[in-house]
Amino acid sequence: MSEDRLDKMRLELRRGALVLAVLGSLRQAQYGYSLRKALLDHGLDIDEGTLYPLVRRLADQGLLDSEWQQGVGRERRYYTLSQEGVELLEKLTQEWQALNGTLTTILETGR
Amino acid sequence: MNLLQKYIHAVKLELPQAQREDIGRELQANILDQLDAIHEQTGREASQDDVAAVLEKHGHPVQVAARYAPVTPLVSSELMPAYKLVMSYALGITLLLQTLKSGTVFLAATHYKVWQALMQLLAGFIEQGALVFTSVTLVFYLAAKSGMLPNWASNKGWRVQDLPEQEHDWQQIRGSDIITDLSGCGFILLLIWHKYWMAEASLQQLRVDFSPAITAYLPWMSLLLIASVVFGIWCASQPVWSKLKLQLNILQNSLYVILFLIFSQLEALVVSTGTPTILDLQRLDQGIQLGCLAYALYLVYECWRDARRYRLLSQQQVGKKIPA
Repeated sequence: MSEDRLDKMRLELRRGALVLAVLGSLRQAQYGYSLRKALLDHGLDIDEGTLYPLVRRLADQGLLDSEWQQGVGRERRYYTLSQEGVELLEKLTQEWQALNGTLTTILETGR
Repeated sequence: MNLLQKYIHAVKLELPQAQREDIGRELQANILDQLDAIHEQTGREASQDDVAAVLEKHGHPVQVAARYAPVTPLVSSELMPAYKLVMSYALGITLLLQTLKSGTVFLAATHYKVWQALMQLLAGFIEQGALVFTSVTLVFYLAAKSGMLPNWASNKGWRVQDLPEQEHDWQQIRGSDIITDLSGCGFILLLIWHKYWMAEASLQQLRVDFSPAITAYLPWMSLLLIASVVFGIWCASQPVWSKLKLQLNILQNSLYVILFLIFSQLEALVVSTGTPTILDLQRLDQGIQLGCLAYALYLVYECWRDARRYRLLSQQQVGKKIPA
């Protein structure tokens, strides 16, 4: 399989999971760079060009609350889960776990 | 203006007015955090090269702006099949009307210039087609935006029972065929009844006219052409060949074959009106007769083809009735 095709498939595979990862990481308030770092610390490397617009889209959908805060030397926009986001995260987590279990079974059976 | 300001400004220019300041402010804060991280890692202030590398990693301002405020297409991919269908019919009708209009101008002209008439047809179609294209696109855009699209456009409320019975590719009647047939019928009707719509001055300029022999058949030809127009409209509303449609097509083509064979055998098809002409009427007659004969033979082939298709559909229906 070519690298190009692998990259495309990987991107497709990660697309839905990224939303869950971002929502899961925003139980505590984070600003853009700290969120990226938190995800990276967990082993999920997301390009800034993908992450920041994604966070904004989630906020526009009402899943995140945001607030500008004056930090050391400069202002930062902090994001955290809204009530709607909390409820959605709970449902998505269940969905993810069920899907993960099913996929694990399928992949193990196929070996 | 430093590199970062230049970059943020370039991104803001590509964003919708209402979001410019907010997104620009946030993007700048995020990039400054990245530059701070470089400072922490290297122990020195980020150089111009570092800044340039960070900004280039973010991407071209146009791409960055598109990620923050994605451009929505005028017609979504879900509506594209309905859009293409409506567009093809709208452009087809435009071509039909333009052909009739250009045909009228061509027949009423004092000098027959085929090339000029074709160019007028093309120019008229492009002009009207552009208007139709824009109008259909705008209607779809506005209807989708206001949620006023009919169910058929978004394929809602469909039933599998309503799908046409179509087992062969050839059963699909192409829109281009329908439009060509309708244009042809319209043009010939205009030609036959030219005395009723052409200006007196244009009529007097005519160099040739139909002979009395062929004029006797023109009412029959007109009736058949009108029936073909009705049949064409029916085919446009249900563009699938069924047994009934094949039967009717064989019938109408057989009648055309008879008429065109008669025309090919008539002694004279056109006569001089008395206006001086350089046309050789005998050769013109021979040409038209040959054309009538060739077209009749082509229609015989179509009858044979449709008869085979009819038999195929009949056999399949019999096959379905036999229990397995």
